[in-house]
Amino acid sequence: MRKALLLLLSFCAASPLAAAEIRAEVRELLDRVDRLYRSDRSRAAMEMEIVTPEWSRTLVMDFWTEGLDKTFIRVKSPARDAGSATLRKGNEMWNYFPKINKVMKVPPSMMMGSWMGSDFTNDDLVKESTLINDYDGDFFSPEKPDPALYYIRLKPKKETVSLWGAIELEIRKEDLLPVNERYYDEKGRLQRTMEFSDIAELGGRNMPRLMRMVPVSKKGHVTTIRYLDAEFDLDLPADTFTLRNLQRVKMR
Amino acid sequence: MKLIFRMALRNVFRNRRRSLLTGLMMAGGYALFALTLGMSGGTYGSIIDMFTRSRTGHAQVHAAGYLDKPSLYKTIDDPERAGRVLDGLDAVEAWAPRVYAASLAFAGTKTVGAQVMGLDPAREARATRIATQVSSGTFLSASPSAGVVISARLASALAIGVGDEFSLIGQGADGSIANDNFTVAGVLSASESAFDGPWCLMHIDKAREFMALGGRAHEIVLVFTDYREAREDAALVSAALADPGLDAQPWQVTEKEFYQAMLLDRKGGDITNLIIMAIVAVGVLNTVLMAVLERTREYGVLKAMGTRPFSIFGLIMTEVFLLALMSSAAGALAGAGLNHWLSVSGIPIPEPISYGGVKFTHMLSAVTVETFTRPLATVVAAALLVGIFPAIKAARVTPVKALGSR
Repeated sequence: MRKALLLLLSFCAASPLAAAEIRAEVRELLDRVDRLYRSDRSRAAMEMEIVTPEWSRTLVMDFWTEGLDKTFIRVKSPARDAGSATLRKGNEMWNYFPKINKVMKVPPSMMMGSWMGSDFTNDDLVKESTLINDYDGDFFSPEKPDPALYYIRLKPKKETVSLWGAIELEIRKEDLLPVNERYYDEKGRLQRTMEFSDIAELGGRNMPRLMRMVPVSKKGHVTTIRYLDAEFDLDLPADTFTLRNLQRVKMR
Repeated sequence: MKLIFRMALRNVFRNRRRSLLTGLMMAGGYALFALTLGMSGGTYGSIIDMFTRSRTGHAQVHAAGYLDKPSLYKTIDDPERAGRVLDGLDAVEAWAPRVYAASLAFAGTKTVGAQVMGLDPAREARATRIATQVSSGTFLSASPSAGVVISARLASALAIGVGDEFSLIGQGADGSIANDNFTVAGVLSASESAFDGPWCLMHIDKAREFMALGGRAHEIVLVFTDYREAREDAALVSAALADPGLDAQPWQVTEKEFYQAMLLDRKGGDITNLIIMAIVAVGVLNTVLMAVLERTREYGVLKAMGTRPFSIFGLIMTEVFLLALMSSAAGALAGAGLNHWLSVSGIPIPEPISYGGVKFTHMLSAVTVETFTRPLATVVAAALLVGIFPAIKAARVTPVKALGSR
C-alpha cells in the first residue's frame, strides 16, 4: 500500500515536467522520420514494385523534393508510363500524362487514393501530411517490447483529416531509423504495415533503402519501394517544381 | 356406349342451324383466343429480336463470375479458341467478342465518366445492329484507329461532335494508367440507340491496347438461329466450350431486368386471355343450355322409354364434346390462317416505335404451338364444364313433367 502511494506520488510530482520532455523527444523522433528521405533539397532514383493478384509491375522513377511541401516525381519506365509525372506544391497536387498531354489536378478527396495503382496513397508519396504536424505522438510499450526500439503511438490531431485512427511507429534507438509503421483505422483494426529494411549509405546518409507496404485488407497486394541512389542538399533548377516542368517529357 | 356416340353424332347434325350457331360461337372463341396469343407472341418476339439484336445478342459468354461482379480482370483468356468452338455449332449464327472498361473522358474543360466498349466491327455487323444506331458521322472502321463512336449522352456531356478530339483516362489491366486521345468518328442516335449512358465504342484491338488487355475479351455475344431456343442453345454452348472458367447465359439471364419486365407485362396479358376465355365459356354455356332446354320433351321420351339418367348425361356430354372438337378444328383453321396472314403483313402502327436502330412499324403475329394448344384446351374444357349443368338437368328430368311441358 505504502509502495503504491509512493509510486502515485512520484508519478504526480514527476509527470508535468516529464510529459513535456517526452513530448519534445517524440517530436524530435517524428521530425527525423518525416525528414528521413528528404532534406532542404533532395533527388533520388527509385524503383517501385507493385504486386497484385492480377498483375505486377515495376516502375522506375526520379524523385525530387524541397523542404516538406514540394515534391516532383517523373516515371522513367516501363514505356507505357514513361514521362508520367506528379507535382505537389503546398496544398495542391497534379498528375501529368504525356500521351494525352494532360495535366490533371488531384482533388483533395483523392489524396488518400492510390498513386499509379500502387499501395501507396498520393499522400504517402508527396507527404502532404507530416507526422509531426498532423499527429500527436506518445511513447507506448507493447506486450513484448524490444529494448533496442522506441515505440511511438500517433493519433491524428483534431483538425487533421486522416484515414488512420492511429499509427504505431517502431524506431531503432541505436541510429533512430524507423523499422516498422503500423496503420490502424478508427476502430483499431490494423489496415496496413510498412516495413523499412536494407539500411545502407545513400547520398551520405544512412537510411533504409527498402520500404515495403502491405495493405492488410487487400490480399496479395504488396508494394515495395527501393532507393537506387539519392543526393541531398544539392542545387535544383529553379523551375523543378512548376507545372511547366510536368509537361517536359524529355528527362533531365 | 357405341349407341350413345351414334345418337350424339346424329343429334349434332339433326338440328344443323342450332349446332352451327353453337359451333360458330366456339370456333369464334377459339380463333379469337388463338389470335390474341399469336399477336402477343409475335409482338414479344419482335420486341425480343429488336432488343437482343440492338446490343445484347441472344446469349453471352463471360468469365465465370463476371455477370455478378464485372471486373477488368475477369476475362475470357482465349477468345480465339472459344470462337473456333462456336463456329462448329449449328445453332450459333454469329458471335462477336467485346471488352469493357470504365474511364474518365476529357474534352476542353469538361470531365465525365465514360464506359468504354471495344468491339469487332466486322463480326458485330453479323451479330447485332449497333452500326445502324449511328445518327451522325460514321461507324467504326474495320481496322483499329483513333476514331471512335460515342453515345449522344457522352457527346452532350463533353460538348463535342463528329471530328472533335477528346481524351480518355482509365485503368490498364497491367496496372498502368490507360490514357490516350481519340477522335469522334460518329455519334449514336439519342433516341434510337441501345446505348443510353455515356458510352464510347471503339475497335476491340484499340480498346485492348488502351487497357493493356492483350488478346483477352470480357464478353462474347452470341446470336442463335432461333432466339426462342436461347436457353437450350446457351446450355449447348456451355457444354461445347467445356471450360468451367467460362459461363454462357441466355438473354433471359444477362438482361434480367428486361426479361422480368416482359414477364410482368405478360402476366397482364394473361388476365386479358382469362377474360377472353370467360367470354368464350359463357357463350358456350348459353348455347348448350338453350339446346338442352329446347329438347326437354325429347329427354322425357327417352326417360319414359327407360333410358337411365347416366346415359342421358353421357349423351349430352358426348354431344358437347363432339361439337367442341369440330368447332375447334374450324377455329384452328381460321386462327392459324389469321395468325399466318398477320405474321406476314402485320397491323401497321400509326406511330412507329424505334429502338436500337430498328423501326417497329407493324405489330406482327406468330403461329406457334401455343396458339393451337391453349385455345383447344380452353374451348373443350369450357364446353364440357358448362355442359355438366344442362346434362344433369336433363338426366334428372321427370318424364311426366317433361312430356307435359311445351
